[in-house]
Amino acid sequence: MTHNAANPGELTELLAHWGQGDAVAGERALTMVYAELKRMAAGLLHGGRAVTLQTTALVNEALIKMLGVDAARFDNRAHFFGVAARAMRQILVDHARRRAADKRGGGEALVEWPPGLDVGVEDSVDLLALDQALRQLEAFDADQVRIVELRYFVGLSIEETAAVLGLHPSAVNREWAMARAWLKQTLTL
Amino acid sequence: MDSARYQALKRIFHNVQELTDAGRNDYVDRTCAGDAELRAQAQALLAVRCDPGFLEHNPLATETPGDLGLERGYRVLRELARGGMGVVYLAERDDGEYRGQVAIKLLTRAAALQPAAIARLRQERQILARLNHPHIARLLDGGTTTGGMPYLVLEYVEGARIDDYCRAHQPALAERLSLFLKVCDAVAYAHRNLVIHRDLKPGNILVTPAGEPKLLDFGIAKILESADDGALTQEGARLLTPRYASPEQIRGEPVSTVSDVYSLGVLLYELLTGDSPYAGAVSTPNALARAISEHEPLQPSVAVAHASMAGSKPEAARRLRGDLDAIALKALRKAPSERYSSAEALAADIQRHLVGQPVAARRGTSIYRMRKFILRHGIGVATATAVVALSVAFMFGLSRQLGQTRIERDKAAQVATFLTELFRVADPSESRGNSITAREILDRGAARLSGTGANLPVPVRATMLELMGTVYRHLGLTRQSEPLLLEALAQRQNAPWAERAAAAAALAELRLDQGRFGDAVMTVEPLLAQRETAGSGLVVTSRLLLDLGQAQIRLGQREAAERVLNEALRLRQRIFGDDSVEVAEVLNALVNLTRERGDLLLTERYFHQALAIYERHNADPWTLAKLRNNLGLLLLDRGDYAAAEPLLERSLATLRQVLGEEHPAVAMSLINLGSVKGRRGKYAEADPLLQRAYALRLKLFGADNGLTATARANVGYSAFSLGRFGQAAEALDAALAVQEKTLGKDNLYTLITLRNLAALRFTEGRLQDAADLYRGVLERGAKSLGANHALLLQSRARLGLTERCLGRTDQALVDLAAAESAQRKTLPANHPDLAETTIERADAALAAGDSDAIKISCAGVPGAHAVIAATLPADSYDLAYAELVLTGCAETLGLADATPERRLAALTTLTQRYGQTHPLVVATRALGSR
Repeated sequence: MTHNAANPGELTELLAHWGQGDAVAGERALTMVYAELKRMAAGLLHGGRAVTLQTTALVNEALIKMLGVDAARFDNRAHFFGVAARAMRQILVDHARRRAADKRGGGEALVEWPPGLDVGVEDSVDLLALDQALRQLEAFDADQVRIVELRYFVGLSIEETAAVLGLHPSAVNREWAMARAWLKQTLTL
Repeated sequence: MDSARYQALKRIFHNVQELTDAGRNDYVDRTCAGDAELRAQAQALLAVRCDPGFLEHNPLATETPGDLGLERGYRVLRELARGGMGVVYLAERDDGEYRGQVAIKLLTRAAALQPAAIARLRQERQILARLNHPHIARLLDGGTTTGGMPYLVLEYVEGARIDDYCRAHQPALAERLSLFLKVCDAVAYAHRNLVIHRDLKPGNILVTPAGEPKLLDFGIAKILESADDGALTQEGARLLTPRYASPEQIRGEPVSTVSDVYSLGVLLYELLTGDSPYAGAVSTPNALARAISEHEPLQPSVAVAHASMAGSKPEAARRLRGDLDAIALKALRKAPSERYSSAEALAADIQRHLVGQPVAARRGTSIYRMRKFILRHGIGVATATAVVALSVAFMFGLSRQLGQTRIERDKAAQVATFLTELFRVADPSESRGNSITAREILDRGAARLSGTGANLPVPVRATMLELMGTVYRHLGLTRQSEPLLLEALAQRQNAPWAERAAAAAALAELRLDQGRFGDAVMTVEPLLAQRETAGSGLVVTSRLLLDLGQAQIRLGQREAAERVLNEALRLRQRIFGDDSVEVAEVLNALVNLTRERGDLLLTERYFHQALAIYERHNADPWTLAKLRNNLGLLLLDRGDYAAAEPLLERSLATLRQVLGEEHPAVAMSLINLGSVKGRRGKYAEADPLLQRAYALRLKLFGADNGLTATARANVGYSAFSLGRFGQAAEALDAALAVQEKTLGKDNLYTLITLRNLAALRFTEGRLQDAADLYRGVLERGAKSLGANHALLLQSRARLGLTERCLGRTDQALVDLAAAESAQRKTLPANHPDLAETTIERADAALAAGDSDAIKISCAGVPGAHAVIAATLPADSYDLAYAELVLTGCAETLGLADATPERRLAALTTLTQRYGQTHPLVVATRALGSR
């Protein structure tokens, strides 16, 4: 499934279905927007040429639909990515929350038993708990939260994140290392 | 933590990045001088180790379906499901050969890194390849991706989860059952092909639009026959879906086809009631795990009736009552051996129900009927609610009784008003529906009685004191109960005899709970001396007699107790009729009496009489737990430890559920369960139970109490079993002193401690001390217990063993032969006590070298060895000893090939456990070298 040929009309339709409760449509829309964001970030890093007006418009539209805020007025790309990253976070967390609710009390997933074994795989990140921890971190260091959102929720590399935020990659790396350590600690407490 | 603090941490974090560990510590110490909290926080943060993947993989950046690297031409349409290990896509085969949609199962990226997950997917393919059933989703193809990962191509089942389907379509009961029968058929088919599914749950059973169920996902299934997948199976055993897992899965014990029967039971229960058998416990893993291994599910009909109070149809409960209740609960038995033996047997019973034949779940012998009976009255309601129901029923029952007897109508009305007030919540914002606990009501009542209630008329106030003191006692709150009951009795000083006697009985019953048996006798005796024999006086008299008899049993005054209890029995039979719970209460006391006397036959007769009565009446959970406990003890006495253990487990679970953790009955139940576990050689499991019982009794009754001392003696014996001899001696000595003082020198429980002390001395090699102690048990018990009491016969046999180790083999043979012959007459043939004696006798004969004695005594050894092997774990002392004697007999009689390896292995077990100096090790070595 590739989205190179994605057009705003298809996305609009998916979002409409999503709005009516079609979770699959929501996931596809998300996958689409995600792919666009990744491509835009790559373009940004390599001089910005690859970011076409059309893809910007596409993501814009997605953001307006998803956020329902004044998401169209972006002063610069960094701001744009910031909003987009937060949107991704919001969507993924909502998604996780719905999934948790789907489990009707959470007892149905196949789990390691006895509980408490450290399985150490990425799938074990609890998005709801992560979101909670990020809210806490927001009060201490909002910049680190932006970095986590771009790195984790959008999937940008250190270099891409640095380019978006206008920082040096080594600075991003340092902040990222601390934010990860703090989040790991908070999530395992 | 605040922003400034975080920034300070950040400076430290950044500044130490280039430093070595030592340098880091230095830096942190210097920077945080004077701020211990910051230092701790910095150290903790620096100690965090992230897994390499932590937050590195975007949650959306999973495999994009376009480039899965499948070998053949499948066009992936969308993701169908995703779990921790696997992901399933909907795909279309586009090579024209096979038309239609398929499901493709692959590993998630995380799972693909785990060899075990890869092996499991391969095994799933192997398993599915042997299954071809209309209600199991078929394997169509399989292969390896270009990346080298296995994948499966499966029949795509378009449908809804079976529980969603039932919610959406609301099929009639018969249709639900027919759906469930098809699932059973699929599971039975898998079992016939030696496959255990291990993850049966609604999410793995889809119902097609045509209404046909399909079983999916054999991802953690197990092939029964394959012996070489040990690691994989072991690993797989740790994966489970808690809500549908069997108790043995939760405990990590071996899983069999009967574990699938349990999961089918959970599914059936949910399909029948719309709710989990564990109700609210499903919301937290710990509560759920406990519910699975301990709590009796509510009968489905009761669960539905509860739900229908909230608005659903009441006739639904009626259709479940009886057969379906029994069927679902039989599938959900905690012990695998008590469940349906197969999915087929479960299905057959449902079919019997559908055609109106009697179902197997409700059939059976008297012990089986007892179990069924207990299940029929299983309790699964939340503790608080159950206790309220119990105590409210009790309070109103008692006040009604009083109303009928002595208190004039207006006083009864005042009592009722007082009680009603207790349930009124002053502030509506406090109201929590019916979740108010009995404890709150009581505390409120006690406060009112000493406050505004002080102005109540004396008889009303005394009645209330007595009621509330009794309810506190039922809740195990003996400390709160005592002042109320004492005051009630004081207030009744000038009341008519029946009222004084009732207050005395209430106090005596508290004394029984407290283990103050002498005080109980002193409380009731004066009133019995002035007893009234007319009208309601007879009812109270029978109660006083029952209390007195129970106290006398525990004091070892068995003849007096028998007289008193028989009088109570006759009285109650006359007043209430033979078939009354009041009579059953006395029968239960007689069970305790005859049991302590060691009369197995009479004990069983009384027990079954009581049981028959309770079966015809509605017994409360407390009584049921007591019956279950008594049945467990009966089986224990008969030497059937394996059957006793689950009953005692369930009794404990029920008591904990109904009474909470801190109740005298819970302590009693802990000791009984600990004892049976100890007899099965599960010392490590027994120890915490016995410790808990001792701590509880110490808290409830203080150290200077017979019950506390008995609990302490059990802790001591447990320490002995675990090889902690120093601790054992200390506990046993201390317990013995208190028991002798409070219970008497020849009391059964005192003598048990004496016997355990003897066993300790024996193991320590203090053989002469051990022999003296065993003789002490025999002398003291001869009168109080009767010569043929099981404890005395066992002590006599052990005295024989001790003599044999002292080299006095002739005397040993006399004692052992006498003990064995008496045990043969009084115990069931496969009783472990008898087996132990048989082994010891043969050993003594071998040591004596007396060929006649060897011939006679060795004949029973193989059977005795088998009994011990069935009772105790392989590495136990008794089994190693039996093994030595068995091989010794075989060699001496030339019956078998020489078995030096077996002999050596057994000797090694003994030596490892007890060291070179253990008397048996010494004696057996001597025998071997001769």
